[in-house]
Amino acid sequence: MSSFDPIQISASEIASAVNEGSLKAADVASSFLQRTEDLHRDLNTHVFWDKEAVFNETEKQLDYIEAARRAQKHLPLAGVPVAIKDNIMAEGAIVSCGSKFLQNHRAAYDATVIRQLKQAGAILLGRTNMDEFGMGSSNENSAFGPVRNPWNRGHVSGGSSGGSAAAVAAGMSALALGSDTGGSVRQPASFCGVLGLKPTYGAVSRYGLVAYASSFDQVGPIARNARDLARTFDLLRQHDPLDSTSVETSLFEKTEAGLDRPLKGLTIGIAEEFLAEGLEEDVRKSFYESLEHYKALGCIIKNVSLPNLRHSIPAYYILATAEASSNLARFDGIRFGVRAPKPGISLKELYGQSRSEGFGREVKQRIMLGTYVLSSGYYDAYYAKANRVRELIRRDFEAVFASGVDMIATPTAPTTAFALGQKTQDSLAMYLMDIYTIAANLSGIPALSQPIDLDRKGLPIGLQLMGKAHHEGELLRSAYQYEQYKRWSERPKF
Amino acid sequence: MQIDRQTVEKVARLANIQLSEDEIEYYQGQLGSVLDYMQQIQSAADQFPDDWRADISGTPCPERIDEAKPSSVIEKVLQSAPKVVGTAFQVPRIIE
Repeated sequence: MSSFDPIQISASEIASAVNEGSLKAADVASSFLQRTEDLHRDLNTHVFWDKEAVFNETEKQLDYIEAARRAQKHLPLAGVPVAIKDNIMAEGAIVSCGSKFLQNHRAAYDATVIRQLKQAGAILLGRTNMDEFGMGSSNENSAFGPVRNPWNRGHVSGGSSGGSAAAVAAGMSALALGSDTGGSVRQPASFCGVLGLKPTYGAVSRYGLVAYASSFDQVGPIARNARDLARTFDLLRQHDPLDSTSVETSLFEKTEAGLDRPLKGLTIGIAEEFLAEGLEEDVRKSFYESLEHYKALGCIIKNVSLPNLRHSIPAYYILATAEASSNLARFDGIRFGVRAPKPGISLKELYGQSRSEGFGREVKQRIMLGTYVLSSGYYDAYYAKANRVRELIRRDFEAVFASGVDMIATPTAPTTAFALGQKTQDSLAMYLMDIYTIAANLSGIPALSQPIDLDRKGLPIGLQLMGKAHHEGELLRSAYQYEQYKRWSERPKF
Repeated sequence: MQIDRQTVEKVARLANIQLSEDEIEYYQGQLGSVLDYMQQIQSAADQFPDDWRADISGTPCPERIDEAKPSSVIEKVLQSAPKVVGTAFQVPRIIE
């Protein structure tokens, strides 16, 4: 394989060819570097992009891949380019989290997921744009400007992992890592026509992921096909002693090995009550059509009830902002980030001015919301109540899964990618975009978004499958077999 | 739900964020509409579970051995600090 199309080639094809020696990892890296160089300004997918610097950093990894090939050691992601969301630590890189506050912050160490990718032979190709600290659903809250959707530059990429999803969709990278606190991997994957997985809470290490809301955050892969997604998840799912919420994973089967297992007999639950207002007609139609395809693959479709799900948005925004207000207290202008330059001010003033100048509008809003719901007099009415509602939602899922349902399907988002600027003046309208995705974060269960169709405007529509805790294998093999049955080969035009 | 100016100022003070006049006005509107929406949670089921678990996945997380190890990142961490004196972060004088 001497030439290839970067927008079509899969990560597994690259890895096989590099392991066999029919493709050189250096050629793969050069090709994707050039494509990113050509496209990143147009889409604003990357932050601090410097082609020469990225190229120089790949050298050590290229030597490692070549040594492995000579030793006939098969690396699962040999030579595969992976774009990294800008809130994941990679030693020496600027890790800004899409914030002015951290624009000079260099990571002192590698996140566990970065270490795992390097061991697997992946080549890290750039840092991707994101909503500041992961707070947003359109990537318009980045201090470095919004990511534009590769399918239509006038529309949003989704968020907060918008740069990662757009980079994969545009063929700048075969894979990307994102992080998902309320849908931040799945929703941009849906808007950009690629696949995204939010693993079970605790399945993937959070060590080196800059925290937004610690009881929700998970790192997740983004890919153009289900096999690549499964392979990446398999190598990321590993117990990490450096993350106290990381679970024991040694007994779990590799999901890639089970992709061919038939879907016959799997039951998919549909919560009709959940599919009412705000759902676009094209999305609804494609959603029900996709269920017909799953039926044809042998799945059983069953109506289910999740009565407390209607409270998921308020519960999520109370709990996530409460955790954010605590997590982001560390950004004080003393140890990292921007320090207000005025001389002669008190320590307290330094905190206030540094935070005021460093944080963007939405981040300040969420910190203040979190501070409000945790403050004396409001704690019980908001924070304590939301935690109990979270427990009710978790039990709703438990009851449905206990009744013999294997997965629950919803659209990933109620609409396709909306126009840039359409929702920036109305926080609530933006928060409501997360209606289908946040339940999985509230209850800790895994969820996947896969592209199923284009709407009449030519924008991708995503289907979400949510599964039982640690049953990512069912989600991934469902997406894989759906892909084989109704091949998704749509790519944005350039 | 109406949020008054004093509430916005109080929350900003608790959060150590200084706000401009325009920002106070902006957040009065935005926080008001979001908190209004959050009120919905008050109508959630009254048969609350007695307990709620923080470990949402319920899967055991093994503990690692608690042992001291040398850290090699001090210099790298200090490189990203706004002001450094020796191996310390410099802060404004707090005692007159």
